[in-house]
Amino acid sequence: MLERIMLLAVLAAGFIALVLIGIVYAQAVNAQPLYSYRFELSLDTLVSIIKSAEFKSALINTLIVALLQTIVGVLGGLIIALAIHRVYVPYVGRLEPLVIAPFFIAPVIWGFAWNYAYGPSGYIPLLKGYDPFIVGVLCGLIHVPHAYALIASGLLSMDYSLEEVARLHGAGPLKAIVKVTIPMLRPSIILATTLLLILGFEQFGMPLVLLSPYGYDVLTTYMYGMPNRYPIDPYPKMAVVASLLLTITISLVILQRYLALREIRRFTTIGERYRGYYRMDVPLYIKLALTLIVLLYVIGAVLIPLGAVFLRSVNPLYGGGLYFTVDYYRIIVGSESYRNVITNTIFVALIAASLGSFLYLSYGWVILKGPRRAIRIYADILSTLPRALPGIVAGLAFLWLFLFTPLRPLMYTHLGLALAYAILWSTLGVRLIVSSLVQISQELENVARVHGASLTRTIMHIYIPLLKKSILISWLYLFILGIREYSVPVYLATGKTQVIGSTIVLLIGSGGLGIIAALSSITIAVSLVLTAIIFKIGWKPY
Amino acid sequence: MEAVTNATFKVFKGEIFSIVGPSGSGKTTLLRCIGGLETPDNGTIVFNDRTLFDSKSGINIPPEARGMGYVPQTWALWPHMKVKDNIAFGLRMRRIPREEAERRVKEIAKSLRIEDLLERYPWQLSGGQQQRVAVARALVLRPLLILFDEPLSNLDAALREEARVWLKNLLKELNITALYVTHDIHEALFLSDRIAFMYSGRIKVIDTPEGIYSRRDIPELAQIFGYNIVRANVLDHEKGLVELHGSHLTCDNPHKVKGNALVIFAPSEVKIGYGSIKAKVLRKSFVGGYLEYTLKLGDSIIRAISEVTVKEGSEVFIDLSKCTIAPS
Repeated sequence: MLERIMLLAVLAAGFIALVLIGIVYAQAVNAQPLYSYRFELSLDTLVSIIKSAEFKSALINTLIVALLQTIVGVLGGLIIALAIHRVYVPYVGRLEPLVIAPFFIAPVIWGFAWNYAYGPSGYIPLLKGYDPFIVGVLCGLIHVPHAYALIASGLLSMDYSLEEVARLHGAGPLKAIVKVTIPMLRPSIILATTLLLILGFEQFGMPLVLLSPYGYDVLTTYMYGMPNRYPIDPYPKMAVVASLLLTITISLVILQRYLALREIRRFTTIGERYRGYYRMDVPLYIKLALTLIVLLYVIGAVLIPLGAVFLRSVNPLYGGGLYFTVDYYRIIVGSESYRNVITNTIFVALIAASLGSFLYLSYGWVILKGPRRAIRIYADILSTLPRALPGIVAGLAFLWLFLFTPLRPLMYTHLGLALAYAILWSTLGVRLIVSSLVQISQELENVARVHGASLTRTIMHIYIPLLKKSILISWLYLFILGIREYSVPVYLATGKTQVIGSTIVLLIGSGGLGIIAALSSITIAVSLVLTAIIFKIGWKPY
Repeated sequence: MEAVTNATFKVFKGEIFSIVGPSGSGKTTLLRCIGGLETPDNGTIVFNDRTLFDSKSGINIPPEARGMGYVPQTWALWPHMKVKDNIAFGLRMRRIPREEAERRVKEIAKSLRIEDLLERYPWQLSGGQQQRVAVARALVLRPLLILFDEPLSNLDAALREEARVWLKNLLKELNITALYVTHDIHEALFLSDRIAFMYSGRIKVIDTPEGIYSRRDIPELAQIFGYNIVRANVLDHEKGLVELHGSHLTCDNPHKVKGNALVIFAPSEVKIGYGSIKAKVLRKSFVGGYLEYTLKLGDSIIRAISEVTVKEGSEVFIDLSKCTIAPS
């Protein structure tokens, strides 16, 4: 029974993901608006958008941001992963939670964090303004944890006899790292590179906060600004940009899968075994340099920017200089609508984390043990597909899905928003569950079945108890993602269902910077506390 | 927690020296200390008149400067390099000119019959081929010592037998000094000139294979060889008189053990139907050519091999044709 429900959930979620993508493409090549329910093939909108100068410059800016983000993020992640997991540098490992922290904070909040810290009117005004190159580098810095997690997992699963043989056969520590460790990390580096490229193309929050005021657009902000630019019937134009963005990200997801499959075969060595933990003793100057890089990152790119948000939330800057007040927090607590925003955020995150946990467990189950090969492949592919949906595009696609299909009652509801989150996070969530599910030997299930348990009871009495801890960890993890989400609710939340993320985006237009800082501070504090808790329970980013 | 204590031994040139012991006995730790992959808390490692490690004077030569070869359990072939580059790696690190390195790679590949594999990647090789490449990668350096860490344990049983013969012939032909770690006592007996037996971090005994096989007075070793070990009381330590389950018996007592002791004897040394020691037959199994019995002797369960047929559940008298006393 339970396995039927799980299978059904997976089939439905996969189908919704397909429909979302279908809607975007359908609207992009349809001369009629979606609400007319008529289809008339036309490439006019597509051609006119592609020919426009705004689109071209947005595309170029997107490329700059995505490429720089990838280069900076992967390099940073690689160096920090080596410093923490391979080279013997005392105490650096303890900084790991701070290296990971940026991951749990929304890019839109990071936009403000960088600006309050180093912007033209920030506390340490290093930057005179912003352009796509600067923002690309800053985006890279906030994506170091993504690359770090993937590369660290590659490092930790590597059979380190590979490095030891190199050492004993005459390679010094640096030679061994360059000739063996880094080439061996190729699969993880490729994975990190494609992931950061995808995230770079879908980046919305940072460019919205930092680039839009300077007149630069990337594809996401260009699409977001369309209703202002073309107040009459903006949907087909938005769909064109969304579909182009989708084409890029889907291609990258396919490339990622192809490369992963190719690399796995080549880099799996026979009879791996791991004995404890291997550290390479390198010359002192390298240790110092690595320590400095990690410290610089943690202080300059994590603590100072986040600290600046807190400072800004109690320092209105009027009258110049430092003047402290808790007025912004008082406004938030005193206003019913802001209180609502906070309870909505928690409520939606709760539903999304619970829905998601069940869905990803179902996905994991179907991918590993599905009844037919075709179904297993369907589940596997459709669980990775949402990775290709940029948050802002997904929000729009869901809006259309709710608007124009029988799912209409879900529109602008907590449940509808939570459902969108759960489907969109499936790539991440499924990986989280599958990695613990594969560790449970098939024999445990077989013995339970032979000894008289039905499949449902096997799931209830064998799998769920064994997965208890990882389900708890993924639930909390999803809950943090729910608190963090800002781009999906831009189109899916309204009035009474508004959440913190979308409220911040809306406030950008109205200039409520103090309130933004206070709301951001609350989110940062909650995210950091929850992150500390899942670290404590035993979560590792790899 | 110390993994290894008081491990003192010498290895002679051209010798295959094995370190044997159950898992967790510290044999791999010992090997890794010699290779410089782990740092001992104290002690000295001297190799070819050169001090590699000395805790007192703070000498600790890094692994790459110790001039050794290494064949780890997983073989650890670098998957991003072709077989020929795997083998040539150490030569490049030693800055051997390209032509000479190529010549030496070809030469070693030929003598190990892997010359057809040079252009392939490790993942395109079978287990046996990978193992040969790993050995070639160490041999090509002509090192004064090669460290082997269970290099055959990833091969299946049939291949392992074959590889054992191959490896021994190869090492002897090339007159290589090898330090060989394994948990398989029979592998060590076959391969080695001398064997060190380790147990819970200590070297219990160092001897030739024949010598090791005869050291039944070491209970941990006796257990590996499948001897029976039972508790008994020594009545006269000079004569080796022991009381075993109510009967008296004379055994070898090389350590002159007094009082509580262990009596060690082989299954084939149990004579059923003789003597005065009472035992109960728990189980009888036919294992081809002879019968194997499981007997209850007091509180102990022992194994016996015999051609005599007795019934399961019956009481029998047994005698021991040979037995050894060891400290408990």
